[in-house]
Amino acid sequence: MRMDAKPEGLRQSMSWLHTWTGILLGWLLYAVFFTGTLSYFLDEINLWMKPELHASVAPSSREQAAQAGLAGMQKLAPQASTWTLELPNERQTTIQASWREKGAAPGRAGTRRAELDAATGEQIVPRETRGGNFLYRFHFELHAMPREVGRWIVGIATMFMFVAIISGVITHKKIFAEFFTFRPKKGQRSWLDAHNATAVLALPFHVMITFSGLLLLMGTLMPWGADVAYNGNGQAYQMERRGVAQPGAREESRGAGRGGREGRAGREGGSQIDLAASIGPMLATAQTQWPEREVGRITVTRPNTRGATVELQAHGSDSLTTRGRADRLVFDAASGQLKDTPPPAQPGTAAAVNNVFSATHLGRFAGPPLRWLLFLSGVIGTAMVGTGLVLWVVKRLPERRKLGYTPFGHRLVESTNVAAIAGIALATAAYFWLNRLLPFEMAGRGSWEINGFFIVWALSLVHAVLRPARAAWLEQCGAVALMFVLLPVLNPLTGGHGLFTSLQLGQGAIAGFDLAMLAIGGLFGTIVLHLRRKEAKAKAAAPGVTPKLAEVGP
Amino acid sequence: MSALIVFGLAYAALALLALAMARHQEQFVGRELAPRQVRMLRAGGWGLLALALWPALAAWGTQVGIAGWLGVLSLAALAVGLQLSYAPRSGAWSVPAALVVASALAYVALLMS
Repeated sequence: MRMDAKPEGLRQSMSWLHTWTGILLGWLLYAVFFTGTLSYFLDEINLWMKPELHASVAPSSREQAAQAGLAGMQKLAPQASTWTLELPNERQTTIQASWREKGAAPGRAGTRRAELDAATGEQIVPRETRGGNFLYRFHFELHAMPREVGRWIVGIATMFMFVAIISGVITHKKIFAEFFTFRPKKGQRSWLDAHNATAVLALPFHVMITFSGLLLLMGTLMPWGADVAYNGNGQAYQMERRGVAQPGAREESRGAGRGGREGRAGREGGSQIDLAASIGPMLATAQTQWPEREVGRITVTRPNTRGATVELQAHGSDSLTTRGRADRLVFDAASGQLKDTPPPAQPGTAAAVNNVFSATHLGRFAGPPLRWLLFLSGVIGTAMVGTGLVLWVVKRLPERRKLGYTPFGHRLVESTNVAAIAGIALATAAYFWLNRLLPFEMAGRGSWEINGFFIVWALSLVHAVLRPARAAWLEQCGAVALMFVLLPVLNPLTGGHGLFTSLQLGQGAIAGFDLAMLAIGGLFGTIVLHLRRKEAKAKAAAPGVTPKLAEVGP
Repeated sequence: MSALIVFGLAYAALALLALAMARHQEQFVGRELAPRQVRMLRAGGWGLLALALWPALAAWGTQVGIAGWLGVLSLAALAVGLQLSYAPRSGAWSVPAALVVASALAYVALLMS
């Protein structure tokens, strides 16, 4: 690979490996990084995409919200075997209720869900949308293919990412000498510096995110060990790994035995337990137990029976090893007495290490500052992949000029880069727009939002192929900027709480989304201005000649 | 607030470490520094970097603290890198300012705890 006749050393062979694994998987990794980074704000995206939920404003007292939720459940599912209420928090305006009817199928299949107004307890039916879950799922399962296949593809790309990071570090000539170096306005040099800086500076994050990504996909990539040990019962393996007993077994026995009998006895005796009155003192007890934290979740087991229990769980956890599992208090519902304070499960060492990585990857533990930190690291990671993709093209410009024409491969990479980088942003913007513009009652509206995402993404590739590279970048970035900047305007016009309302009501999650959209729009706007200024300068330098050299990158 | 304290300290630490590098001395102060000064800068930089771990651990606990500290270091390094390329001379006031702000915030945090 060397022009001079020096023998090829480790660094040169690593450089080759880095270049080719980079470009082959870079497009996929860019999409994974882009959607994955957005997923740090999964709850906020979900909330924004269900504007019906904006109307729910959390009451100032925890007790009121809890009472509203319990009253709502009493109306919705008095016969259920469990109620779970996720009280409103900084990322959620409503009470997220879920319940299991008696004899329901184990696991997720048997769980029913509803959103309750945090002040009144009334059920709110939001529009049908996959919301941020689509972006979140896409980042490790892709779309329109069997889940396993998607995970395999992303898993392999993640492995190559690991390879690219390691080979990249070896390839980097002066990793310490150029630690802080960025030389702007120098063409290829600047792109290389940007690529190096985003890689080296956030190296701990990159290593953590790829390695933990592999751990999270471990079950898909290397299922054999668990398959043998658990006789192919994947659910049993997951349950034991998370340190919980099989729910099926536990709840069945409960339903058939004690719970069933007691349930009847409780109702026949007419001794309805007034949870609305007793929940206040329970919350107060929790407040003294965890003065620093609020109660995040209320679980009522066997409600409306004499044996009912109420479990309070703290919101958030500081521990990575338990993967964000928090302290709990269990009360007897009838007497209001504290029955049990089960400690968070203490995992074994291997599980703890796994949990540290996966919790960090998922941002499970993260309060707002740390979440932003992870998000910004994700942005740096996205930029690292993006600059690498652009660098591939920029580096080959001299060769192209020498040839006098653009080889097909170069043009292919150049066009795909536009669609991979600007196109996915455009598709995401379109996804948010469709979410608000498709009619509420439309059949399959959730899938049409997603179809719209892919149609726009495909169109961006067509556009990039048809237009000269520079124009393609300019036009698509311009469209992205416009669409994102206008989202906060669209929001109040289509039923959501606009910035003024959300800020006034203290709905930080909604305001945060709008502000983030303005920031993304601003970022792409800056790119457009930068591109245009460069173009103007090039024109001034050589009037009448369209800039060829600077044709490629933003 | 704790994130700001960590950032202020980490930023100052990394700026000192950058200043200890011959390549950046031109940019920052316009001349090369004496070996003794370089040694002091390097010690100060590493010292501050270690010091920045303390508020992170205090605010977020051991596990999250270390992860958060690493994350803030990345952002602080990015800030130093951008500053060196676009406004190198501003380091003369921004580094002391970061230290003052971080110490003031740390003092407030100690008072409140």
